[in-house]
Amino acid sequence: MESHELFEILVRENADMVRAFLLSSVRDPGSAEDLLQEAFLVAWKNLGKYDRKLPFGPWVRGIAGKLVLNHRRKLGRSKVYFCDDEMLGVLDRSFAEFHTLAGDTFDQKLDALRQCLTGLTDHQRASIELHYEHGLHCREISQRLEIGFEAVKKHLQRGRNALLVCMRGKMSVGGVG
Amino acid sequence: MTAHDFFDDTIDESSAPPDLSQDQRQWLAEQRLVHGLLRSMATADAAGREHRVETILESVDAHRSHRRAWGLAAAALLLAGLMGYLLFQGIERLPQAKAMMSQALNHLSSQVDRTYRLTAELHSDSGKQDVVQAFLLTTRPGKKFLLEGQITFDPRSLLRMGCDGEMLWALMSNPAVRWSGPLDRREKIAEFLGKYLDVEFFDLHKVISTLGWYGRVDLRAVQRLPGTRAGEGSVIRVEATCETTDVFRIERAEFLIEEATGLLTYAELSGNPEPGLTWKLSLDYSGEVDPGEDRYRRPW
Repeated sequence: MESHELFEILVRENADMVRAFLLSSVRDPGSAEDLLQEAFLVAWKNLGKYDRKLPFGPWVRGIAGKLVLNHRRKLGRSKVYFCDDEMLGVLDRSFAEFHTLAGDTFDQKLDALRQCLTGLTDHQRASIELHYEHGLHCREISQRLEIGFEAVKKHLQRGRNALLVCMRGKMSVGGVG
Repeated sequence: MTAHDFFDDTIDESSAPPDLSQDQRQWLAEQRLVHGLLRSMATADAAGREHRVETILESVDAHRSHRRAWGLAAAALLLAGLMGYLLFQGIERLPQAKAMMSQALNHLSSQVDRTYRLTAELHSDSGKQDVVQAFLLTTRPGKKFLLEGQITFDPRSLLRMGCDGEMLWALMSNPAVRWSGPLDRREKIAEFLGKYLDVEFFDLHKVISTLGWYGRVDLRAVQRLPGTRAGEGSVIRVEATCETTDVFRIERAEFLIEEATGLLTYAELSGNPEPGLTWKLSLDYSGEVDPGEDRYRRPW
């Protein structure tokens, strides 16, 4: 198989995961798309250095992490959430852990998250849906749900935490994918 | 103050807390993991995914061709580069069209009510069928819109048309007509608006997402312009050319998108439905209005 054909397979297998990694660190979705493209281009240019015995995902995620730090230095903090080398390292390990969920594709692994959403409290689920699916900010969510601003923040934080705990349960029960 | 206070729900804070303990870093990374997964899940669709992969592979192909041709074209490139530098000194690199469309899409997703001055034009080469109509359009995500204006040159003939996300309705003053029906009966709207103005165009979110991620559309960021409104930053002009007329009969489109925020300040859609006939729809952003779901509901 030619390098280019192999690379296309690797892009298809890993683009969604790298994009989620970037969306966890980069505020602006347009910049995340640009960085995604750049990460794979850098990976292509350095394909000769990639050790094919190791998984490709963590390698390209490492490239994406360096680009995020660069991006934050260039454009300032308004475009990128707080991150440094150490934070990106912890985040990378969290993504590696997510990768152990059952499922061949990233979308199939997301099924665990979809299932876990059903286990949230009503307020947690509503806050998460309004924020992520409808793009509402905390203030708007608090008006919509008629609860306090701080309560919305807590519902979102606790909701995300509950989702992680639920997904971890599936990692141990569902086995390694 | 803990990391929990710094990094709230929308993760708006970007400054580093003074001292993050290992536990706080772990907590923050876990919040970010789920945040990234939820953002990814909310914007995942097959067409978008395929377009993303194609864009990556195209950039790789461009790099490969570039390397292959480099030996032969080095001198020409150097010359062109020098000429380009001399001619376009000071012009900065434009962002990618796709990235701008993505920003615009993100901005349009927020649950606010926006108004646009909408102009619909129909021109024929002979000049016999020329029509220009002007409306005020108010929209909100979720297929909610209110269109108000004169349907013909008769000043008594006022049209109000709206949709609350499910029900479409229209109210005309002269002749006095009122109609309502489910959204999927939008062909009925042709009786009010003519066959070239479709309610699909009022859902800018859908227009942008379709043109931005549909495979047979050539998208280009062509120009950076200074903002023309108070407080408006630079805008990027994005042009789209459709290979087919599958996308709501649109053949060409042009968008002005504020670079820093993704605000869509202007959209122009056009096509040639018949030889010698051109339709054009332009939407000029007027601003946000007070939130109110009532305006979209059927008034009777």
